[in-house]
Amino acid sequence: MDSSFYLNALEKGDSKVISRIYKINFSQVKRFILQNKGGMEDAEDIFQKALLQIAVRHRKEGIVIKSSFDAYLFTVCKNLWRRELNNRKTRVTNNEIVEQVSEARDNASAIIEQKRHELFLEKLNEISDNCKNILSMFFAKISYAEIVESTEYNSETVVRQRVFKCKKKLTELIKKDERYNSLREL
Amino acid sequence: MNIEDDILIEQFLRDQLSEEEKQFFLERIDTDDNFKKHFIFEKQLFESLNEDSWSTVENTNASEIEEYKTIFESEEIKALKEVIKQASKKKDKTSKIRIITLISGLAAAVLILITLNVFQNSPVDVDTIYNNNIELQKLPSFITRGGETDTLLIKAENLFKEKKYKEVITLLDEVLSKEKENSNVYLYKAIAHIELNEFDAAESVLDTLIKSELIDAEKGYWYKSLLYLKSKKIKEAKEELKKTVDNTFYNHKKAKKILKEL
Repeated sequence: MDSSFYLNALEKGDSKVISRIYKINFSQVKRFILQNKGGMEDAEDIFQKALLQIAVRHRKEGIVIKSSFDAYLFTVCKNLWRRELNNRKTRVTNNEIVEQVSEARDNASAIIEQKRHELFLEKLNEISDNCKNILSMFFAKISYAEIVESTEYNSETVVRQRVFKCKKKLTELIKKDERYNSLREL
Repeated sequence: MNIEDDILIEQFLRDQLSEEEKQFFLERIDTDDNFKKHFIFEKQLFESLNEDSWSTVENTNASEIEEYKTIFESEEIKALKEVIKQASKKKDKTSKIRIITLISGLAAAVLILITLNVFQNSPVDVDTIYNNNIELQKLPSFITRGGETDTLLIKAENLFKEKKYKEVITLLDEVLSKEKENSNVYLYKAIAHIELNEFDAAESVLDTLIKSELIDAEKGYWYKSLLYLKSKKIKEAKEELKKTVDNTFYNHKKAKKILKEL
């Protein structure tokens, strides 16, 4: 079954296909969330939000999925869970009353964030393998000393310069993409 | 943007500045618009592309968010939300039925096995032992990793679930050319070979795992015993099972049970 079949059926609310999506994908998502500080209710919630997010995006943007539907759904669930964990962490750190945002507004914000993430990742995959490799380590917060050890570069200064150049290239690619215009002020 | 400012922003985002430097940094953000813009973009990059964080939107009243919000509030999407909820409830019912069916099935299978053993003294069905113990669905998942080969591994895991073992092997070979420190990669590859009846290849992968310094190297013995059961080499299977039991390796209790059956 190709991804457009699932996208169309999901948007139309075809209960049989939605049940099939659950049957194929839910256990993997559940396992991921349970292994990453979440509970059964979180897994249910994230899975439902992800399906709704994909349906809404398909309605508005007519999204095309390059990978399989299952892989894309899993990525959306994973990112929604990253988002939730991040929000929980912020709520604890700030220890303040966070203004209640409506569910619809929060779901809409999650879409914009997912779009931004997809754009960044897509552009990261467009730069040279060497740049991608060094930036992946950099964004994973691996220290410069460790980067020197696992690459052919001789010193931290050289790595810093390389990171700077690669990041500049990545930034140019992102800012050149017209999708970035609508995400700029967010 | 010069490299000094770039490093400064990075140090702020990594929380490596002193209190005084932080104060100075925040003051500069308030007064230097270009610097502020660059900082916001860098922050988005940092948070989006780091697996442990997430880049949230600051301006939740932006027009694009309003547009999506309107769709989320539409009657059609509210109805869809209900359909999705119902599908979730249905899934719970189905899985309960499936568990009951599975238990009944297992009970029946046990009964048949007992009957066969008592009345016919039939030879042990090594295929059944293999199938009951390989537990493909219980293999550790790759999905929580954060490394460079993460995407390949998730893809391989999904293909494994779809039983596309040949493709799994190709992907895992690619992973192994880059990193050799993940014992699960060896296990998935070996099992993919076993499922394809490529026993020699599976044996060689498991031998590599056993000889490695990896923490899960001992699992190699357990899977080697299953490999020999599947390929009907009972003598060799018994030897591997014995090693597992004697050294209290991974799954030694199960190994003991199988040894009794053989």
